[in-house]
Amino acid sequence: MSVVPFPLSGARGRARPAPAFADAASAERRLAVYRYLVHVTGDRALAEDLTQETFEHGLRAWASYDARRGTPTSWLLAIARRVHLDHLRAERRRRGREARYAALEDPASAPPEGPSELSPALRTALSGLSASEREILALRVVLGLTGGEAASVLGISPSACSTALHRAMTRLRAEVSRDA
Amino acid sequence: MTPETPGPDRLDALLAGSATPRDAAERDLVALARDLGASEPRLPDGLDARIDSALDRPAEARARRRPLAALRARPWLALAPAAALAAAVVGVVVAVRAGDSGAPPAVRPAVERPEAAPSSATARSAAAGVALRSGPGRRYAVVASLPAGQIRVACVVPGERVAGPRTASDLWARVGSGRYAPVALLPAGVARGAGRCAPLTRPSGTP
Repeated sequence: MSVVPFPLSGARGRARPAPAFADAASAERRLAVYRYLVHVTGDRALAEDLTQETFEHGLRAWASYDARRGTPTSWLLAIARRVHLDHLRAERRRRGREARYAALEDPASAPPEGPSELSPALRTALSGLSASEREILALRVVLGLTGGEAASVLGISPSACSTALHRAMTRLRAEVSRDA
Repeated sequence: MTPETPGPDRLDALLAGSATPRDAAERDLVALARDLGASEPRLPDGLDARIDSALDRPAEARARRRPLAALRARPWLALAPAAALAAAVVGVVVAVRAGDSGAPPAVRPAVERPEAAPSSATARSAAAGVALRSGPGRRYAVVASLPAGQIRVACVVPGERVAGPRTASDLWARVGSGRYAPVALLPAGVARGAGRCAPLTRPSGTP
């Protein structure tokens, strides 16, 4: 006869990492998640916070990882992507509408520190892209994922992924040559 | 002015390194890709340790960063004081009932622990065979009968009043998932100190 657990206690029992997840959180994957987040957010401090959060989520969700549907790397990147989207939503709620518009009109008010070892021209060009354009560049170009892997992270078809990459690279090149 | 960007397929090939750039536009793109790929080459200092600590103790690690997150991660903590109070009240009620029926008035104060709600009481069973029902009343289906041996009462919940040989009580003890036995038919003291069962569905308005 077992004592019924307190109904609200949720995921408490899984506080320890399964050995398998410790393996999945390899140095290589940590770097991949972090680099993805730096390029998507354009903010190194924020990327650090979100990286940590991604691995916390990953630890809790590890039981649902299915090797048939993708590599642990693309699974973690998909989590990182959701963590980032959640963060954006929370930010949007937090800051009032007016603060948001003020930020839109004056994007240079407090420029966060972008990815390191990028030329200033490229950094400016990147910040001129939309979030989804930065996302596809981060996956395909920065991390060097294949079209199929990137498509599985984004939840879109490989051909849509190719098109998005094409558009993003075109825009990036236009931004760079406009600044130059 | 600037040459056209190559199409998606050609771009894939260029990025994969399986094609060599043919014109200025393609050379530009390959250079851009190389520069992007070289950016942010390593983890910042301290991030490894932060990830490790997050993997070790996710909730605590988050609480350090955002104080209220501890409550958000474990909202039932907010119920702990109420649960302790409920456990104390039930303890007193059970003790008083036991006193009414002539049992020794051993008023044992409810143990106040932060997680008092799922407290369990254990005793030798002198009540083997008592019907266990799916809910706190005789209108619920009998799902099992109490085996001989130890009874562990997870919590108690008020339901149909049942008269037993030594007392009558409307409390039912939950002894397993979806298994309730009337407290009146259990050995004296088994349910004493057990907390009130938390509602099965979260009432709206709780954190």
